[in-house]
Amino acid sequence: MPSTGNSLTVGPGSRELEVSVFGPGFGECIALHLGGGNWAIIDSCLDATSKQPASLHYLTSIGANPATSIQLVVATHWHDDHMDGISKVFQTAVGAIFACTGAVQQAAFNEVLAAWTGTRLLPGGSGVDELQSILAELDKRSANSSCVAPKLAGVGRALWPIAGKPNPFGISIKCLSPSDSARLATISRLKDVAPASNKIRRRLPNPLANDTSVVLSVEAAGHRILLGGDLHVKADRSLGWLAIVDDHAGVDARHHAFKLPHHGSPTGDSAEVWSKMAVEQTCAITTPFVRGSVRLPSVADCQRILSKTQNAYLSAPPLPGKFRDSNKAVERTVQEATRSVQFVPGKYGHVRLRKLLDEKPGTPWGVELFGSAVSMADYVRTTS
Amino acid sequence: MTESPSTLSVSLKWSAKDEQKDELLTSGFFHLQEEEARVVLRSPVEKGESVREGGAVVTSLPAPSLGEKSSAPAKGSSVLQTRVLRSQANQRYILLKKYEGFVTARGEDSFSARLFENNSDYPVVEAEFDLEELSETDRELAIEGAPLVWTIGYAYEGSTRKRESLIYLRRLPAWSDKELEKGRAAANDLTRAIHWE
Repeated sequence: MPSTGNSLTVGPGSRELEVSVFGPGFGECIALHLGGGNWAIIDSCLDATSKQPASLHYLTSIGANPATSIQLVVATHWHDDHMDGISKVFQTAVGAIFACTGAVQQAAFNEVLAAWTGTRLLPGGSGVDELQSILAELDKRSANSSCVAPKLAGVGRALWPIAGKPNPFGISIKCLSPSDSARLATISRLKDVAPASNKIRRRLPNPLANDTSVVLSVEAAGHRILLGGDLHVKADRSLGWLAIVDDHAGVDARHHAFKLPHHGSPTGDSAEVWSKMAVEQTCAITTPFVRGSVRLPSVADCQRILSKTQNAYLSAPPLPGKFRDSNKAVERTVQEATRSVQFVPGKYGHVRLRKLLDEKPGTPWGVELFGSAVSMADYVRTTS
Repeated sequence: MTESPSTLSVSLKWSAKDEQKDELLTSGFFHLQEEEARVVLRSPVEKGESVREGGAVVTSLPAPSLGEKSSAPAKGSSVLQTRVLRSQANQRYILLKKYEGFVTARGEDSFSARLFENNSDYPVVEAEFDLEELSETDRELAIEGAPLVWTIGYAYEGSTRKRESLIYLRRLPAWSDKELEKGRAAANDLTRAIHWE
């Protein structure tokens, strides 16, 4: 039986799988229990109350020591907006291995990193501050011969297990993307944003789009979890989700839990992915996104997702915080001068899935909702 | 009866050295008492400093009495350009709010921006503006990542008070070849020892 404590501060049992999804912050975060109190952290966002990285806040709250319990840190994107606080997570996790998209190895990436370093004093940062801090940490650790080298994520690449690291669940974590074509597309885009002496300085725009996002397939004793990153569906089948579907043609490796890509939007949705990569009534989770009048997932998106699975959850409804200012003249002026104004991120929550490793893979997950997390069916019902 | 002191509204562009010795150029919009403004406008240029038009070095920090403390040029900063925007007796300005931030998205007739009062703000303000809120010259600069400033305040002219909202893009200079070369070397130093698998 899964834990029935229904308390946020009760950690998983030593034979219990857990996938926790936190968000939204600027980005989202996933904590994956590797067994025996060891964890993998995928991406990062800040906890709404403590303003600490969500993963560090959570692990501390369940009595785990983040410094020693985090074994793997993965960045599915490298733009700051998608991984707020990830450098702090990695710096804290002194024995962890870092993995991210292969774009960081490109010469063009160095050009971008070099140029944007000088803009870090802009309000909101340069856009590469998190990754730069991680590179500095990796540089520091490179002097220690016992440190495991960081890994470049790419299709077919196994990120876990790693020799010498604990693996009581016999868990495997495999990259399903980015594909080789996506890597080539990345290099081309990096050239587009690469600095030149005649270009105006600004905060780095997000140049990699979402077809270079890392997607992970996790497997332990027949239980499978698909972590969809922010990957899009592209017309070109060599890119995005359809490249993954084609790579898995003829392989029955459908997943029992699915962190939906791109906040449940249609751009990350494919009927082929649902039918070939996920079991029926898979447990689907997503985090919301709010910018201006854009709200993801929309009610229509939720209805589309619910048509695939009724076991669908949102870490929070896609609602921004209402703008307020203690000075009414400021509040009035702000309202008058803008089309829309809001505090972001807005509502924040945490969806936790647990299941004993020894249960049959098709057994339903124990689902716990914290903060503003809500089942998608309830959200649609109350919004409609 | 006490006469109100004269005020000047001044646009400054200045450069300073940040902690890693890189030159940082930035600009700001100040409402200063006349005496304070003179300090900026008439201070001597440091020995060895190349003199540019409107050039001066801030040797005495003007008292940022109207809420501009966080953006005032630090002592020793080189003021590259000054522009007096308003200069009349009986004018004053009370700053109610100042946001700095960057453009997050550009549409056909609007743009969105993320705005901060302090760098540590969380959550932050995100707003969507009509492009018309910007001056014609600023509109083409409103692209993703462009830094902007938004001030809200009361402007007084004699006995008249006016609520003002002023949005403008910060004009950061283009990268120089020298700066790019230096950055490249720093990035290579940072990544050389890292062996990815």
